[in-house]
Amino acid sequence: MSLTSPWSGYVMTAMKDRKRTPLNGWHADAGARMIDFAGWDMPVFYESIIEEHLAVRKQAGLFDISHMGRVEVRGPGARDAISRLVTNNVGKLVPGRALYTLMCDPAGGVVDDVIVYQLAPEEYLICVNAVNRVADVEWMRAHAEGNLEIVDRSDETAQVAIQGPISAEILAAVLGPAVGGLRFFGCLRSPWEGEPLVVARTGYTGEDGFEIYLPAWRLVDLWQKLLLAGRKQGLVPCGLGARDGLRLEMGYPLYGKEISREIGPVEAGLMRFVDLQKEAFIGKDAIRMKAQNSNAQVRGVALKGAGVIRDGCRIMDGGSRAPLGRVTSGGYSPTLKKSIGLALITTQFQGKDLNVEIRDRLVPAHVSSVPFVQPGTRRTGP
Amino acid sequence: MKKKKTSHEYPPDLLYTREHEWARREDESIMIVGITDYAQDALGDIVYVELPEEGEEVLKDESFGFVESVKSVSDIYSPVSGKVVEINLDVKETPDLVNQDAYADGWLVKIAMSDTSELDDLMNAEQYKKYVEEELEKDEE
Repeated sequence: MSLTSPWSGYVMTAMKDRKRTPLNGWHADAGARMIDFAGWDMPVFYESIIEEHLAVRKQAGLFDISHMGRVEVRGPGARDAISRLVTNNVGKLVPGRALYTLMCDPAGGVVDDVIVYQLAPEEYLICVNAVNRVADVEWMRAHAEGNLEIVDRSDETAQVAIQGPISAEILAAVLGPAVGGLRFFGCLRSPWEGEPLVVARTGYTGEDGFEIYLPAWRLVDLWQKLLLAGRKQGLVPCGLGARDGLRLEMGYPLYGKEISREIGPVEAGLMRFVDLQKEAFIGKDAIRMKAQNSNAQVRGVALKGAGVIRDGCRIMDGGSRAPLGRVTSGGYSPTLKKSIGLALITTQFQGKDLNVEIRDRLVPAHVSSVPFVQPGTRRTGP
Repeated sequence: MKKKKTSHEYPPDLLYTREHEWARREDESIMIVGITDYAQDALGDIVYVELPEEGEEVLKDESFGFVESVKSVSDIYSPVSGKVVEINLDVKETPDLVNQDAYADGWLVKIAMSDTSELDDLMNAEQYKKYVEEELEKDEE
């Protein structure tokens, strides 16, 4: 065996140099296997990725996602500035609503994918990827125009996700009944024991669920209270391994895999989050051009033969064996009990049968529609 | 499904490699081979095991197959040289057996040794346990 990091593709950060969330000691005490994720010391699993994954699909799971970046944008110019920075129509937001969007560069490459929460008429919270946090804040400051303030709140705040069919019930038991009234992609400020909390009905799993933003020093307490409230009904702490498998089953993109400066919204199949009708935003012209003649697209792939699809595997035509592209994210689906993946494949290919090259062998596979698993989210929003 | 452990098992009757395989003598010439409790714990849920065919020749310290867990793939290196005389078909069907019982039901292959002196290079349980503990300490740095 070569027991290397279970997470490929990142430059490893030495244990002592990794950043830690306020729950780091809790994770260690719980026996979690810790990994380096974008310079953070994070749990990949506690007992079993498969069990944690299935708990989210069937009951509920609790995730420490404090490594994500949280950026506050406020002021009379906030709305127009954000609107120029991102691809989706922020003008449609009202206080208490959120939207998923991309932040692109002038060439149409993706700087990051983010969720924008509107908390008040002139106040927004933008949740960004850990790996891009510093670059995002620089990008926003460099490109935002007008009367506004951009504050990186990541260090003094924390973030948990509770995801799964019974998450609303558990969250309401701790935070009060108001959270149960939130619509999908709704958000609210809800004071908790005197501290300001933002609760949003968002997530990265495809299940009903919530993300909670709070002062960092309150994180451990909220975490323990949620676990206490939900444990009997099957709520379990979940690591990043389950989080990655859950998003893969939904076909959600992960920055650096399905989207990057090189892979834009057209190739990634994310044009429903790009509003080409709205006024100028960074990358608009390039994306519009690309929409006419893109040569590759992210598609779902399901393995028919034995083995596991991994990031970087080459994809060939099932008949002619002509090279078609490569896997951007591969893994094992605990729900489907087989290997699935997302792959960047040439748009020339119209067929269904594929071969995936796994360790020098061609394993039969086929194109699959995404999501691979039907979502349980209550899409009652607009 | 696997259960994470706070301490690992090191049966005293086995020999061990630095790559976390174990070998148990079945008779004069045949070794049963698997991966250690520490290895299965580090890998997490095992979902696929690729093994050689019966009759295949394997070489000491060379990969004869691999183990896929949910998050990673790892080569399995042979502790000895020789010919594969039996493979564990149960772990092909139920890879989880390696997590459940790495030293018994989760065995992988039986190898007819071509050179029994190769066994001298392997570690005993005490040496292997010390080796793992040193590896874990290195991780903490």
